[in-house]
Amino acid sequence: MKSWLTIALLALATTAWAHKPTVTKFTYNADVFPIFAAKCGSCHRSGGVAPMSLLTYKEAYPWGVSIKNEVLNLAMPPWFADERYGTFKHRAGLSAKEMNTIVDWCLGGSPEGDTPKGDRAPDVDGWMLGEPDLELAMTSPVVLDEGTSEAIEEVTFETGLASAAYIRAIDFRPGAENIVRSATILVDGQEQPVATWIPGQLPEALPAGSGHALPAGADIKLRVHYKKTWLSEGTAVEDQSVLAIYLEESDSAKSVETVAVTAGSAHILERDAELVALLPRVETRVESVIAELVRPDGSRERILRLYQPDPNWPRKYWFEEPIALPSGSRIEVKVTPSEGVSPVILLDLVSE
Amino acid sequence: MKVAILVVALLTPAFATSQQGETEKTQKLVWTCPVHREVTETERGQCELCERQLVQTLVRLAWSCPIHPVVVESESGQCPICQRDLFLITEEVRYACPMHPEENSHEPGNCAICNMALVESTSTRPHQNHNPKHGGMFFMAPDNWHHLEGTYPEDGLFRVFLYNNFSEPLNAKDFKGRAVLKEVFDADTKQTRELLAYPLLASPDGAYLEAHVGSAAFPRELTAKVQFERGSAFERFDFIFVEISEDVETAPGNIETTGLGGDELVIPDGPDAPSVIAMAIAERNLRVRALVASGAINEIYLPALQAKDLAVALESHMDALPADQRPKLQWALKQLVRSAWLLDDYGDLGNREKVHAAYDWFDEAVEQIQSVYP
Repeated sequence: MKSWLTIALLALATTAWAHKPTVTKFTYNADVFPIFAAKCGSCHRSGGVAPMSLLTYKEAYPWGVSIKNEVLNLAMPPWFADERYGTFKHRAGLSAKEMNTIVDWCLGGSPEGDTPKGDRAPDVDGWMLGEPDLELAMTSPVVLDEGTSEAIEEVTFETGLASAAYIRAIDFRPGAENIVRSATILVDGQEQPVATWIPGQLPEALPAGSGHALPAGADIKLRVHYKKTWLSEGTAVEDQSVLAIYLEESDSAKSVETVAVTAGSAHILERDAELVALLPRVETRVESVIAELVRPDGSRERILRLYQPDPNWPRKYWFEEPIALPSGSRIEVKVTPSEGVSPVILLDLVSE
Repeated sequence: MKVAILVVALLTPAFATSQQGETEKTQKLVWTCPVHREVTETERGQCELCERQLVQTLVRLAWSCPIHPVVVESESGQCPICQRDLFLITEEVRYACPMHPEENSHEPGNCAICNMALVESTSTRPHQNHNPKHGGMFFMAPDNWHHLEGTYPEDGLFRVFLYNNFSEPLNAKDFKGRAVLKEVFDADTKQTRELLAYPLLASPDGAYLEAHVGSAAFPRELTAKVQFERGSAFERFDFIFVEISEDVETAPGNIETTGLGGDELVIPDGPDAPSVIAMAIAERNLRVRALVASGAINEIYLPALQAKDLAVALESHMDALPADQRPKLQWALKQLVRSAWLLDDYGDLGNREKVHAAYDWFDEAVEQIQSVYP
């Protein structure tokens, strides 16, 4: 306490000045572009789903104040998961250094710098998980006419599979990248999705020897959320997206069960299982969504905390290592504030 | 809305107002440096920092939400997301070609390459000159447009000078205010009740508002509550004076480039670097805490931004930590960087409540860093 007072008086002995005009040491080409290319460029590029590209200086600098606000509010990149809880694959958040570089550049004059450094993220040619077992393309395009700004469209695909199978992974390739905001993939007749896709999200497969059950003759439904930005508003846009389905080779695969847990409630496991991934479904803006695991011995572990998740970017969080849960374990979901909203977290559980 | 436009138009005659109902807008062409965008002049010339030729920029008044910056409206009202009252901001307006963004201008028109109509884009203006002109404490109002400086020129005398966004003095007769010396917060009604306040009255020449607040020992804590538009709420600004203000204007060109708080900072190196850096962060935290407690919130930016530069340096040592400690440190370092920038921002606004909220995050981040490097 004493030291505070001394420091306070020392600090106050100088004239009270607010900010001086400031100059950043960071430039777009040397410091900011490499971050934008790696962390923002999958959406914020020419033809991408974002309403502005950040991959050239002239495109990026007019948005300085917005970029600063989005980054400081942890709204962009849309990762939302608190680093302290759960270890997830494909982490998309910024580091402290990256955040600081961007904000400093935005506030300190946004200079361009001399020579560009680093390369654009290369466009992926083909499917990242390799050749799929089934490639299901829309046979006719979905058209958003001039007057339609936003739509959710559903397309049903026949798999042509004669016998039951297990789906180990699903990837999605949007046709019109500038309007496809998210995609949800369901096995016809099942309530919970087997996969979701948002721009920039990398595909992930279930552990070898496991999969979502695909009954014989079952269709696959693709639900796509389309939304135009001011760049495409007022024009007709056609989309012809493609699904890639990867099947589990083993005939005796472990089945993945997707369980929905509403905030304020819990799911109790009736047999041993592995928790592979979490898919939060948040319809409205909330302060935080939390998932906690209570083992049969009473020990409690927080496995996910989302800070102000954006309902527009429903992301699946894949654990780096699946969590082994003995029978009797409980998974609780909480939300703040708790009044009036009830987000759901879908658990992907693998069991014998 | 009309009152707001009228007041601003009277105060800044160079602003052109067009009265077209819904699209009513107030805008002004200024000269700004293409690199140092905080440099804003009313005439053509060179940047005072880098001597580049200034370029013409269109700025416009608009209304935005304090927490949803994406909401920008052409008139006052409530935020459609959270229903908060919108506040006045200045935006920079550009017209750019959707296909060739390098083709952009401060005027609407067509692209020189493909002839497509240019599309309007806007961004809010960066920091302006916040140097005090009369040796006092300088704050920006929440509308990001008005600025004010409080001084304590002699024992018992409190003065408030008002400026626009370009640090041009405004006529104090157009504003109302009071100096609050004592108040209590009623937890039941969630209202602050003033127990002792004096009116801030305009000087005959309109140079400042003034209140006689009685003699007392230093440090003197005084709160100015100022109304910028008729009918709007009184905004609060918390001042603390430790000595008589010397009325000396900052000499032009005497611009301290702090590198946003980082230039003079020596980052420790060597095998003990992480612990030394963590200690240096804790020391900056004490300075920030003291400034928050003392009310000198427009000075927080220096230790706060130094702490975040130290945090960035500490991040480069993270791989040396045991794996189970890294996520906690990663979170704490990000939280520290975020909250330091927010403290800088809210300190500029002179808003003690927001400073306190941001400081809670800052303090929590430092505590976690200390738990990793005890």
